[in-house]
Amino acid sequence: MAVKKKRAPVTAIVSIASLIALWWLGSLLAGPDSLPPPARVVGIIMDEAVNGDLFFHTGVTLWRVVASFTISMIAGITIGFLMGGFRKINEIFDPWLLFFLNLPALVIIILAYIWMGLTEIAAITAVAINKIPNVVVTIREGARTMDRGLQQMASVFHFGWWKKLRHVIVPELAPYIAAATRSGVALIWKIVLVVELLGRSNGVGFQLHLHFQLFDIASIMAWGLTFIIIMQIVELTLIQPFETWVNRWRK
Amino acid sequence: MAPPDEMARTAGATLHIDITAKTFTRHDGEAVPVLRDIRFDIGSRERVVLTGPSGCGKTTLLNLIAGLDRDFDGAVTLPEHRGDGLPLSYVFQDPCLLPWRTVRENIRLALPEPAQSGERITWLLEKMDLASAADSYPQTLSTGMSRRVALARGFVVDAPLLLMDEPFSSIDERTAVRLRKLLLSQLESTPCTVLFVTHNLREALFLGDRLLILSGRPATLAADLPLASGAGKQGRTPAEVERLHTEIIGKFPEILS
Repeated sequence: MAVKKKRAPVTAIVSIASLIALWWLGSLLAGPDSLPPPARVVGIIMDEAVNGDLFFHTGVTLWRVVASFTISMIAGITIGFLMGGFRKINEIFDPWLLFFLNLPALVIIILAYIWMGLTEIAAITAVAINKIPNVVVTIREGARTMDRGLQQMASVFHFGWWKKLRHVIVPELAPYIAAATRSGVALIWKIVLVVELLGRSNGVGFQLHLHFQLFDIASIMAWGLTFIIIMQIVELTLIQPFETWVNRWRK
Repeated sequence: MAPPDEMARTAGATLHIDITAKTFTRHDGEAVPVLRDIRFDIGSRERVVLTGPSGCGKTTLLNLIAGLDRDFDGAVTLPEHRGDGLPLSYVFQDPCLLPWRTVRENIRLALPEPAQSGERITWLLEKMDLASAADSYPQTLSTGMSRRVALARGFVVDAPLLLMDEPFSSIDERTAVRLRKLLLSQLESTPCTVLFVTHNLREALFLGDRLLILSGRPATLAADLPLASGAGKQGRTPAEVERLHTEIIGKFPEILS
């Protein structure tokens, strides 16, 4: 383990550095107007940070990510658990699940804006509806593989619903919840940008829309890069520690 | 007057089993009868062993008694128990430990009110030779150790009835011998009524005061034999086990061999 921990950052640093080098080479070949060099993009990020726009727009986008993520996880875990645990419920709702899984994200977003107006609620609802079916599929798989022996044990020793939820069901579903979290965060922030582009007047998606209209490639890259960095921070400070904690009992 | 605990233990401490029929429905919808006309009583603190060919319905019967499966014709009357305690405890064939909880937590969680039971858990951990593993997770334990944790959990709740479903199967014989002795010594300090299921007739004869044999399709009670003089605190000697083994195999050759 100790060896791994020492090596991993070195490899990662070399890997990132070579990506930046490639980018810089590319901008030399293509010209700074088509592919702005790294320094210029970082300069724009700095400017936006100084005038405060960076924090305002990424903050708004992050709030939308958190809100729709929370809603889709709660709804998805509940529905997935019920569908995985009860065959009758699964039979009834499986066609619905297929319907929503195959409904294009763009259709959901456009309909949500038409029916609910260009509002915050419409935006968050649209993102949540896009993500819920994926969470359901993952959690349903987990609920299907739950150990019957542990259920019987809980029943013999008269576990109440809270005790059973806390000590049996949630820990058993935890790897699936972690998987849904990881794929959820990745999917949701991309959809949030589309939702913002189509019908919001703030957020990273709005900024991208604005700079698209101005054909400002450097700013588009600056906003994209900012968000990649933020999601990487979320990954390192929230998702990875959560996964480690969930798997602490494994050999 | 006896203390309330003691009264609950002695008054009406009999287990009544009266199963008319238990049927499973197969995937193709056909009904398969599993158990039929099984009637017996187990007296307070009696140690009854139940054996029979594998797949004959021994575990099904235990699950009916434990209330895990209520879909059957007939009735099961459990011994009376203390109001705040559990009516029965169950040591499963598979240890059924929560992999994400430590040994101590696994034992503690079996208790309806775990708060005041720290000392009892520590005492049991020591008796089962698990004190050093108290804070380990089950995946790090050997098979024999996991079985001991399951045994400790079975005893921690101090229920009047203890059901055991092949708790020492699929482990090597030396470990099994040790675990059987541990079981007997534990039963001495916390006596209770025991219904012990095993396909191993020698194990049954080592431990039991009375032998039930289940056989047939659907399974019925083929025999209900009191075993002379009881197994006692130490279990039967190998010579006695062999003598009874020959005798019983002779009586039921087609069921048990």
